[in-house]
Amino acid sequence: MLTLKDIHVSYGQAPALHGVSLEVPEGHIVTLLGANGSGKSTTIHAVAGLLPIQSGSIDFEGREIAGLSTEAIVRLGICATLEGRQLFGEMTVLENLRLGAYTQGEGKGFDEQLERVLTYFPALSERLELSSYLLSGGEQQMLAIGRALMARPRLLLMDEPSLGLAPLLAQEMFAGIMSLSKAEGISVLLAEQAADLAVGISGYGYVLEVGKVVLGDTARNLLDNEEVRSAYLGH
Amino acid sequence: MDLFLQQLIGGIASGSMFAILALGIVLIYRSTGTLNFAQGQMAMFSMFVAWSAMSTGMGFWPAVLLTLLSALAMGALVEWLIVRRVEGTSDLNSLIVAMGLFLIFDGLALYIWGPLPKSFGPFSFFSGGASCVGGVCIGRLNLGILVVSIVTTVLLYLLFQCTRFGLALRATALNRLASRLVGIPVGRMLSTGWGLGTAVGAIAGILAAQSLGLDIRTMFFVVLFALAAAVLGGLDSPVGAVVGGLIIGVVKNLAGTYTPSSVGSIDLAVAFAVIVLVLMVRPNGIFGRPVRMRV
Ligand SMILES: Nc1ncnc2c1ncn2[C@@H]1O[C@H](COP(=O)(O)OP(=O)(O)OP(=O)(O)O)[C@@H](O)[C@H]1O
Ligand SMILES: [Mg+2]
Repeated sequence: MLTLKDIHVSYGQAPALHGVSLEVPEGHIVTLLGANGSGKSTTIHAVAGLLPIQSGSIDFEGREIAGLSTEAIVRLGICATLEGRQLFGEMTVLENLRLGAYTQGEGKGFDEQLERVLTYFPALSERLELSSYLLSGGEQQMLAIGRALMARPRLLLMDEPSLGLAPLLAQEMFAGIMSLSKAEGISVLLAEQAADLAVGISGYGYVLEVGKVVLGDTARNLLDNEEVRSAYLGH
Repeated sequence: MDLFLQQLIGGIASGSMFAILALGIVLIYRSTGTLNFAQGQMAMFSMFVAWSAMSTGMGFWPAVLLTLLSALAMGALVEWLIVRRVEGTSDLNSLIVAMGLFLIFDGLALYIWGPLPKSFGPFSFFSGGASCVGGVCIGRLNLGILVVSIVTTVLLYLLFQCTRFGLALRATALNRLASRLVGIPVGRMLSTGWGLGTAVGAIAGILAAQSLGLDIRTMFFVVLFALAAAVLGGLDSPVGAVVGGLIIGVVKNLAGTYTPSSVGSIDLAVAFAVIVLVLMVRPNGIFGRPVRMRV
């Protein structure tokens, strides 16, 4: 579904990715592991069209999307949630969700999709008129994911969705992501630093080190790999 | 008492003119963070466009429509051609852009229309007998200004609060990265913000021309008060712009009425003293929000 080939990205003169290649198969959850500064966020941003790409190709369902605007990429079916959640803090929960559906128009399909998204995040349905900056951290993350879902994506990019959440909440979050991916048939590319839980719900994982993929394997093998375990999985 | 009410109404009318221009300033500020003090000269330019249209025999309302559309295009073009190039570099650069815009529109108007004032209204909508309720009267000019200001404000409110497009415009002003993330064409929204701000400015310009005449310098002092109104209300708050404009209009009028005429333009001094006092208590303006850290 998504194939990155030899992606190079720099911030000004400083290179951040030198040759990232990876693949997200249809309907799968894939985790990106890596230490601070290894390039996980940069990879997510590059796929979402938030950063220009120096070279390499990004293929989404047979289409080259490198160089497209984020707007075009969203319309093709790729949505992202970023670190820091990037909500419209001064707006209500409902307004945030309406904006999530910006590329979809607001006809009858909107109400249906809203109802569907709220079944995954029932906590939000009681807070639709609340300013989103008043939500708890967990609720904000739910809103960020819910807002992305409003655009009916087929691929979800998630940058550290568990950041700042208590362990129990993080566990719930990943369980939610897994059931959502299954039920809606959405593929997920997940960037995580402390990633036991993320790998636990994934089929496949990649390890990034200073802007390069150094290892790609099934989640099972990654969990069994001593080096990976001690470096990224906290055991 | 009647004198007081009379001056109050006069103040509200002239204040609503400041308010409209201030609204335009706020729309542009929210769009790209530019404090566009060239707003007055851009409005002046639009007034001359209206004058030119009418001197070819066009009626008042068609000429107004044409002027608003051209202002919309002009503002969007300015954002796209100039403002976008220096965005995010430094506040100083955006200041210099506003200065450049001031000189461009000032010079362009001088070049095209010459230095002499033109006769421009008051048009039939703004002239006629006064309407009186009890002992208090409102002249037709002030009534016209008031009606146009109210209609403009209500339409803008509806656009921003009740349409999907308005929602996207507000979103872009709040958080650009998040706006890109949900697929809003951010660049087009910024251009639209400038276009709307410039068109609203053109409305203020046409109102100003009814009472002050049409001259390259007509907007000099109006824009000063509009800037003050925008700062007073809180630069990022449309509601603040309206309230700020009304306060300044009223204070200025009342100060002018109740101080001896020998003191000259004491009304200006009093108006600005009020602004300074308010800003001492609320540095971000009456409705302005302090910048909130995003979690
Ligand atoms: N806006 C930026 N400007 C310049 N350099 C940047 C910028 N963002 C990231 N970098 C650099 O790019 C490299 C990759 O950063 P990136 O944010 O992708 O890492 P990450 O894997 O997401 O790290 P973390 O786990 O801390 O989120 C780092 O060396 C970082 O310093
Ligand atoms: Mg990161």
